[in-house]
Formats: sequence, structure tokens, C-alpha cells
Amino acid sequence: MSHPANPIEAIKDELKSAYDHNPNDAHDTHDHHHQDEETKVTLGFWIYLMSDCILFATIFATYGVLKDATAGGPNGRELFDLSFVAIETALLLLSSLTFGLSMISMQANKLKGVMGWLAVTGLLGLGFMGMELYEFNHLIHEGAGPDRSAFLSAFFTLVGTHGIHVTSGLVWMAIMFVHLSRRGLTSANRIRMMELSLFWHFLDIIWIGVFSIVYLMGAA
Amino acid sequence: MSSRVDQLHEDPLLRAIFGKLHIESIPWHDPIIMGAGAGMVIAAVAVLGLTTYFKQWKYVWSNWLTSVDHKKIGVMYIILALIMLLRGFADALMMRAQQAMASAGGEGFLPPDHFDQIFTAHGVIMIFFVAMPFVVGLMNVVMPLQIGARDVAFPYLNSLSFWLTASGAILINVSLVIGEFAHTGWLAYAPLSGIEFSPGVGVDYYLWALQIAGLGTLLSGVNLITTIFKMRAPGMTLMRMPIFTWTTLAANMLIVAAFPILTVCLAMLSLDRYLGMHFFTNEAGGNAMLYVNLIWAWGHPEVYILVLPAFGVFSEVVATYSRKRLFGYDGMVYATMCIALLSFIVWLHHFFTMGAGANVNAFFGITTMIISIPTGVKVFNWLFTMYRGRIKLDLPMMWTLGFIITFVIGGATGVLMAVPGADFVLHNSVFLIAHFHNVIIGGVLFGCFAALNYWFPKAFGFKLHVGLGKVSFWCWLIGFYVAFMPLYALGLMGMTRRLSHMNDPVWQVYLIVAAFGALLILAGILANIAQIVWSVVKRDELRDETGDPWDGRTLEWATSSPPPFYNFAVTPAIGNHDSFWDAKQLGQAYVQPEKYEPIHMPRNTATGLLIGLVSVPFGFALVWHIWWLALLGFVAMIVIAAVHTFNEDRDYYVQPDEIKAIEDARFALLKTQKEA
Amino acid sequence: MKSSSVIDPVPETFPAFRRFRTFATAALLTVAALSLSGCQMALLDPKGPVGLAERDLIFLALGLMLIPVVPVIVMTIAFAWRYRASNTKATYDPNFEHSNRIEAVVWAIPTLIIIALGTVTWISTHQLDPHKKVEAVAERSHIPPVEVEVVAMDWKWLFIYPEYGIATVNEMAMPVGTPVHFKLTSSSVMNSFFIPQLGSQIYAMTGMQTNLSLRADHEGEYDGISANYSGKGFANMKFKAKAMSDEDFAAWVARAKTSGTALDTATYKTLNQKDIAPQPLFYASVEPTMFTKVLNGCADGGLCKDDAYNMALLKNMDPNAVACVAPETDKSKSSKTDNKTIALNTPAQNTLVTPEG
Repeated sequence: MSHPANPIEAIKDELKSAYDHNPNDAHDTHDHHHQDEETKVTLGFWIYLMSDCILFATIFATYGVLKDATAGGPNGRELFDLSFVAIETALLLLSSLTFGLSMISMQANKLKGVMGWLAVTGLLGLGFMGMELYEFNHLIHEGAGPDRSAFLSAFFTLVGTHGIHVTSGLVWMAIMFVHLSRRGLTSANRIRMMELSLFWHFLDIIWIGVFSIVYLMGAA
Repeated sequence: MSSRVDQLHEDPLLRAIFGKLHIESIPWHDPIIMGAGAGMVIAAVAVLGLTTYFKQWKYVWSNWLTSVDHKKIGVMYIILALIMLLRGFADALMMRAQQAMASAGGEGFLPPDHFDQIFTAHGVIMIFFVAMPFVVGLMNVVMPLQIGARDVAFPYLNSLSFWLTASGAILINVSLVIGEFAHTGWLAYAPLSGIEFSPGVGVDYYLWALQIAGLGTLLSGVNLITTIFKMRAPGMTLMRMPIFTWTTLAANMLIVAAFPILTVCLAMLSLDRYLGMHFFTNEAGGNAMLYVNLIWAWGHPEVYILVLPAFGVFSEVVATYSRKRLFGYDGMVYATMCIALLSFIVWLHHFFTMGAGANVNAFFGITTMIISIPTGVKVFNWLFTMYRGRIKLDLPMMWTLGFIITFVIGGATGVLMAVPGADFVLHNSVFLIAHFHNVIIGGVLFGCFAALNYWFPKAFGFKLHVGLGKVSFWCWLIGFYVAFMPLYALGLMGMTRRLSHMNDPVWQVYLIVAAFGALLILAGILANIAQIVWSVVKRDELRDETGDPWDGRTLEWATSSPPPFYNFAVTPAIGNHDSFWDAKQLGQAYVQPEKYEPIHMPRNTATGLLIGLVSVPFGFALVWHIWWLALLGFVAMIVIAAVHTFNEDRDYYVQPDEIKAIEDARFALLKTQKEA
Repeated sequence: MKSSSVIDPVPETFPAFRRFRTFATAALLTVAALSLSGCQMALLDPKGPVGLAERDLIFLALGLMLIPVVPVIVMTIAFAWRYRASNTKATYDPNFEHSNRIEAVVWAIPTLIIIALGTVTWISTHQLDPHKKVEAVAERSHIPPVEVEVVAMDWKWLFIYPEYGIATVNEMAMPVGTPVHFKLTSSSVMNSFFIPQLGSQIYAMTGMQTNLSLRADHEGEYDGISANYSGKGFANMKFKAKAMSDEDFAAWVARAKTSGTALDTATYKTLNQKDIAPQPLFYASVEPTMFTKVLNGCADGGLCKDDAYNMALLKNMDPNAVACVAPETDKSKSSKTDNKTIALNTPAQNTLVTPEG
């Protein structure tokens, strides 16, 4: 920085640099405020989950309004195969359990356990998604695609939105896997695992809603 | 014009590459559109050219585009809002001119097809890309300073939020030149917005622009709530937060709770349009009433997302310029939260005429009226803050007085329309148009202008010129009444909204007066621009070196103007909601600490900017069915975000000696101020 | 105020309101008359009981709102002037931030006004409910109301008079003093049926029936509009509502009867094109089930929604019972009542906004 003769101007220059400051010019790093970071991220993530909850609530409400609007097409009773969906549900519930085991391993600082259980969770999630896609494909081929009736539009959208969430969870898990294998159980990764676990259990709860309201009540 | 969007490529290869996009998609023969488009291109080239000519790219890149500093991001939001205000207001002028010209049997200068796009664009732009970014920008600049924080909770997310909002705005402006915009009205009621009745790309532009910007808004809501809950200065309990921070909290809670409804509603309309689903269609069991309910279940809270922060601004301004504590602080807080809560149970008042039963209509009418109780309390509290004050009639206070008078009139006509029986004749009339401009201009926009004049010196270190500010104020205030009082009268004459032409010589007189009012408002906008430009030119004369030009009461005035990047060298401790005022009274303000601790700060990142930039071609590709580009854009955004998670070097510590240098300079400057 | 209004937002049990309303009406009418000179204000110059009740309601609500609004405006200006910085004689109390008395008052005043207005709202909303049928004027109570079925089209209004077997486009007529019961639907997008000088508007929506009941007490030709934007031709979606004597009405019907064409599936299809109708049209005859067919999306041929729904119900009971195909010929649906049709057709749709049905 140039040094003007006038001391007041020098002061102003200093203050200007304080405002137009490029933090990427700084090079020193210290230990982070992990405690702060964790509570912030967790609260922020909870707020996001609550807004996601409202997103699902809106789709549930839409489904509730449209579930009888079959327009002469098939209804839930004709379409849903409860035993198939029960296996699908079991896969997802089980994956919540295995994620829990992964978190227990994390408490015990066992990286292998964390990654192993995370892999099992991911596989169960993949199985769930595979079954869901199979069901969608089957329905579309039977002529019961989302463009058949308002009921089916709402059905595909509700189940599909949950499916998109599960898929993003799986992508997140894949990235998490890379993070863990590169850096191990760093505090940043612990925070990520915490949020991913919240997300995964949240999807489980949503699925219980889908299973009860769409499949059980629809097939009854 | 609609014919041009129906052109399709015969060649399947061309169709795969360009989707529905065709050389004829650009309205080459429309002088208004081509002129506006050329103007936008020239302006953009000029900005880029000047930046290059003055070799400012490095500065712009590292200090603005990739900045995660909440103050810079807030300023960028407000710049976006002011630019889009010009676009939205140009639409308003064209509407007023068209209706004035075409109200006695003439056809005017706009065919219905064009007029319909203009009123749609006007509404969408004014709400989503003027009022929203202005309010979010203010919250970004001011709130962290008010709570003594050094940034928001998630600085990178904040940058992403801004760039998504900006991308939505870019997409809307692209629609002006390439293709068309929706001709459905700003809420795109189904089934009119469905593929059967709107086969063009206009509604698709609407959908993707709002989805992209809406995602930004939602993320910003998560961010600001977390900031308020987790980053307040020690001693600042919830009931010691400044009122603007309270209203920011309420508005962001509304954002987080309401925007998912908009997301779902627009997503379902997209599914109808893109995948042939039947949520809101006339066929196969679709239910258009569902759309209207959902869009207003978001739409009504949205009104309060905009107006609550404006109420916060007025609360700060009225206490500062009356040089008095805010009257009834607790009541203000409870009123704010009451309004936020009630805003979710009134949405049906937007369509009393849909044929619901009397019990339902009466219920929603009464809940709507109940909102006026806490709102009334707020108005009285502002009045009793002025009572026994020493009122300095500076620009922010003038806007506040103009607001109170204008807003109570708008409130009265609002309560009037909350009575279903009255709404049965006033619904959708220009009386309604007058009412909501009465509250949105008189409430939200006046609040934004009060805030602009109030906090501008905080953000830039110099005040805005008073004389030009007064010209702007009077033009806006008088222009508002001249433009909208005739609409109240026309509403009572039975004139409904959105008419491209009509035939009634009596109406024409009123519409010409209204158009004249719009010209007065134009003068107000021009005076405002002149005020900013002139103040920048004369910034040395208008300089404020104290950091506290108005004898402020809350924490943002305790630091320098503009604040250093870390806001506060030492986190202040709080004992009251007027903590800085109290500190000044007790002589505890401006005491330089003996030593400084290192400060933890985030580094810049281009991730938000990149994702935002990619979302523009992504949205554009979806609009025009260019699937490969949409897929590419989507994958690119995911990859950029994923790569960002591998960047571990996101923050650093500012060393005490650096802080000391800056703070020494500040205190030296304060000393020369005191001596002068 | 005319006592002939059968719909009155404030019954006799609320004499205070009534007296206040009379006062407010008088005051506001004076203001309105002075500033706007004349009766160009369609909403303030109603020609039927519904419009009259709604005008009075507007005045009453506005009057109630002025109770706080006027003092607030006066206080704003007075306080700003009295406590201006240069007036050092005024009391300055920088720490005056709380007063239980003032706070009680500022919560109480709006609350009391809203209790009053809420009461008015509850009563008036039930009395002005568009589902509620307006009565005839006393001396004409022996004359049955006129039934009109209304279809909003792109961009014109179709009126069907089932009792007379005629249909018209962009022009309707009614005898003075006799209520008209409208049933409304749309063949395209959402519109709002509105005759400003007669009162209440109501949405016309595809696949749904809404109801409205109006009465004209004065002869005249009133403007009718769509009050909900519906696309390119929206500004031209106007009609004339003519209120006339019984004899003129009979002549009007007779004129339609002699106009020649019939409204059947084919003519309906032509009429339903996306276009405006610059001149009123008349149809000498109309299929009796036309309105039901419009409701069920099959007025221009194709499978009716109610048939599809019933077939689906049957199919659930016995999958082999019926084949679900479009009927080749038009089926007679005269055996069904309208209400039943709607109940079958839109069970879900009604639950959304009308929980009480």
C-alpha cells in the first residue's frame, strides 16, 4: 500500500483496506471452532428438515385431495401389492438401523465400522430404490402411469419425491465414503455424518407416512 | 406473437440439439421488445467494458462476485432489486399508458397478447425480484451487525442464495427477448397456465425462474434463522434483540414454512406441463381449485415476508429520529409473531368468490380481520414512540410518516375486502389493485426507501443527498396517490383488473389521471437514481467518519462505516435492546480495548457464483426442452457442490496485529472527529 | 335505504349497528356524491337487493374502519408537528417506553372494532351466501324464479334457459322483481361471472358447478363481465343483462325461439372455439342435458366424466361388468338429477373448500 503524506489519508486507506478485504490473501490457519460449527450446522439442518417436512406435507395434502380422482382409471386397491411394498419398507427400516450402527461405530472411533455399516446402509437404500423403480415401471406398463389420472399423478409424485430424496441420500453417502476414506473421522466428517444420519432417519419417517397413508389405506 | 413459439424444427437432429428453440423464437419485428433487449445488452456490455477498461476485474471478483461477506452480498441483493425495479416499472408505465389510451374504444399500442405478458411480468418482477431481494438484502446487511455477529451462520450458502436469486432474474430477462413470458397473471392460475391453454414457453420461464430464485430464498431463510439463534452477542437474549432483527426472524420463519408450498405447487404445474400429469388440468380428475389454494397458502405469508421487515425498519427509524426508546417493545415483538402465525390461516380470503360455504368464508374473513389487531398495535406504538420525542425530520423519518398515513388507508380498504359480502363485488376489481399497491408501495417500498436512506451511510461511509431524496419522496408520495386513488374509484365503477382495452369515456379520464400519477412516480425513481449518483460524486462532502451519523441506538452504529470485514474487533456485550444508545449515555462507547484476540473468518469462494451461473443455462434448457443441456447443467451443479465439500481450507484467523492496525486507524479518526 | 332488500347484513337484533350504519351510509354517500358527482359508480348504484346489501356493507365496514384510521392520521401529523426537534417547548421524555394504560387501550381499540366487524361479517356472510336463494319481491311471490345455466367459454358467455328451451350468447334477460337462479360452470379456464350493478360475482370453473342468485328491481340494461382474467380475449368477454317487464321478457324469449338455429353437439363444438363473439347469438332450442354435459366435459362428444366414474365404481364391484368406452351415440341423462351427478363426479373437489359441503 502506498503511504500518502497526510496522516488522515493514511488512516482512511487503512480503513478502506479493512472494508475491501480479500480474505483469500490470508494464509494462516488455526484449529476451528468445531463446537460452534456443529451446533450451527445441526440447527440449520434441522430447520431445513422442517421445511422439507412442509414440502412433504403439501404433497400429502395434495394426495389426500386427489386420491379418489381416478378418472375411471385404476385405484389403489387394484394397483398396490402390499407384500411387495412390505419388503421395500423393511429394506428402508433396516437401513435406518444399520445407519444407527454406523453412528455407534463413529462414537467408538472405529472408522472401518463406520464405513462398513455405511456401505450396508447404502446397499439397502439401493435395494429400496430398485424396488421402487421396478414398481413404477410395472405400473407404467400396465397403463397406470402418472398421466392416467390425477390420483396416479399424486401417487407418483409423492412416492417419487421421497425416492428423489433417497437418491440424493445415496449420492451423499457415496461422497461421504470418499470423505471418510480420505480424511477419516475428522470433526468435519463427524458433523457430516450427523447430518446425513438425521436426513436418512427423516426419510424413514416420511416413508412410514407414505406406507400407511398411500399403501395401507389405499389397499384397504 | 404466440405463433412464433409454435415453430418446431422438422429435423430430429436439430430438435435434439435446440429443442423448441428456433431462430424465429426471437421477436425480430417487435420494436418495443427489440429496443428493450438492445438496451439491456448495451448496458451489460457497458458494465463489462468499463470493468475491463479500468482493470477492476480482480477487485470485482475478489471483493464482490466471490465474496461471502454478508454486507457485500446484501448490497448486491439491493443493487439487483433496484435494477429490476426499473424493468418492473417500465412494465407499469406501459400498462398505464395502454389502459389510458385504450379505454374509450381504441386499441392502444399493445395487442392483448403483449399486454397480458406485461402485467404478468410486472407482478412477478416486482414481488420476486424487487421487493424480495430488497428486503433480503437489507436483512443481510443489517441483521448480523445488529446482533454483533461477524457474518451469517453459513457464509458460502449466503453467496449461493444470492446467485440463485440473480439467476432467476436473468432468466426472466432472457424471456423478454428469446421466446415470450407467461400471459397468465403473476400467480399463473391453472388451468390457464396448463399446457392446453398456454402451450408456449412463457409459463416455463415463469416456473423455472421462480423455482431457482425460490430455492435461493429458502436457503437464505435457513441461514438467517440459524444466524439469529446461534450468533448473537453475549447478553443479547431474544427479548433484547432490536426489532428489525425480530422481524427478520419472523420473516425468515415464514420463508422456511411457506416457500416449500410454492415449490411443490410450481413443481406440480411443471409435471402437468412436462409429463402430462393431471394435478390441475381439466381432464382426468385434475383440480384447479387445489392450485389456487396452494399458491395462496404460500402467497399470503409472502405478503408478510415482505412487510414484516419493513415494519422492523420503521420501528428502528422512528425510535432513532424521535431520539427516544421504542414504545411498547414487548408489544411490538408479540404483535410481530402474532402476525406471522396468523398469516397462515387467512389464505382463502383471496378467493371468497370460489363458492365455498358461508361458514368457511366467514371464518377466513374474520381471521383476516384479526391480523389487523396486532398491526394496529404496531401503528399505535410507532405513534407513541413519537409522542414526547424530539423528532428530526430526516429522510428516513419522512418515509416513515408517509408510510403510516398511506398504510392505514391501505389497511382500511384491506379489512373492507376481508368482509366476504363486500369482497363479492370488489374482488378482482381495480379497487383490489389499488388496495394492494397501497400496502405494498406504502408499506414495503416506503420501508425499503427509509432503510436505504437510513443504512446507506453504514454500508458505504457517506450519507445520501438530502435535497434529491426529498424530491424523490414527494414524487413517490404524491405520485402514489394520483396513480392509485383513481383506481379505487374505478373499482367502485365496476372496472375489473387486467383489461387490455375497454370502452368508457368516463373511465378514460380516471385512467389518464392514473397514468399521470405513474409519471410522477417515474420522476421519484429518477430522483432516487440521481440522489445515489450525486451522493457518490459528492461522497467526500457527505462523508460520515463517526460510523454513527444519526445518533443511533442499536449495535450496527457502534462500528465504523463501512464496517471492517470482521464487523466488530471485540464482540460487544449487550444489556438492553438499545445497547449502543445506553453505552453512549454511560460513556462506555468508543473505548478501545487493550488487546485483540484473533478473529475467525470465512474465506471467499466462487462456488455459489458458479452454481448460480450454471443454473441459468440449466433453466433455459428446461424451458426450451434442450434435454442434453439441462442434464449437463444439473450434473455440473451437483459436481460443483460436491467438489466444494472437499475444500477444507474454508476459514482462517485474522491476527491481532492486523486488527490492531485497523482499529488504531479507526480510533485515530474518531479522535480527529471529536476534536473537529 | 330501501326496505325492500330481502338480504340485510344486519338484522333487527343489532339496532346499534343499524343506527350506526344509517349514519355511516349518509355520511359516506354525501362524501361520495360530492366528490364523484353522479351515479357512475356501478357498485354504489345497485339495482337489486344483493347489490344493495353489499353496498351498505361496504359503507358500514368502511365507517367502522374510519374510527381508528382518521385519529391515526391526525395523530401522525399532530405528533410529528408537536414534537419536532425545533420545538423545545414540547415535553421530551426519552425513556418513556411503556405505559400499561396506553398499551391496554391500543390493544383494546382494534380488538373492539374487530369484534364488531367480525359479528357483522359472520351475519352478512351467511345472508349473502351465493348458495342462498334470493326471494321474489312480495307482490310477485307467486311467480317462480327464472333458472339460468351459465357456461363461461373462451371468450364469451353462454346462457341456457332450460325452462324455455332456449340459449343465448353474451346477452341475457330477466323479468324485474323475479329472482334468477344461476348455475355456472366453464368449458375452458376459470372465469368470474359478474353483473356489477346486481351484486355478487362467482367463479365459473370447469367440471364444477357454482350457484348464484340475483334479482333486478329496476328495468335496465346492465353490464356483465368476467372478473377473472382468462386469456387473450378476456377484455371482450362481456355481456348485457337486461331486466325487463314480464311482457318484454316473454317477447325476448319468443324472439330467441324464432331465431332458427339449435344448440346441439355440433353447434356447441363450433361455438366453443377459442374466439370472441362480437354480437349476441340466439338459439331457438337447446339439448335439455347440455349443461350437465358441459359439467362432465362431454358437450362436444366423448366420454362423460360421471359415466367414467360410475363405470369405475361398477368395475370395482365386478371387474367384468362393463367395458369402459366412449359411447357412440349420445346417451340420455335426463333421468339423473344434476346434484347427484355432481356428487358422483367431484367428491374430492368439494371437500377442499367447502368442508361443510
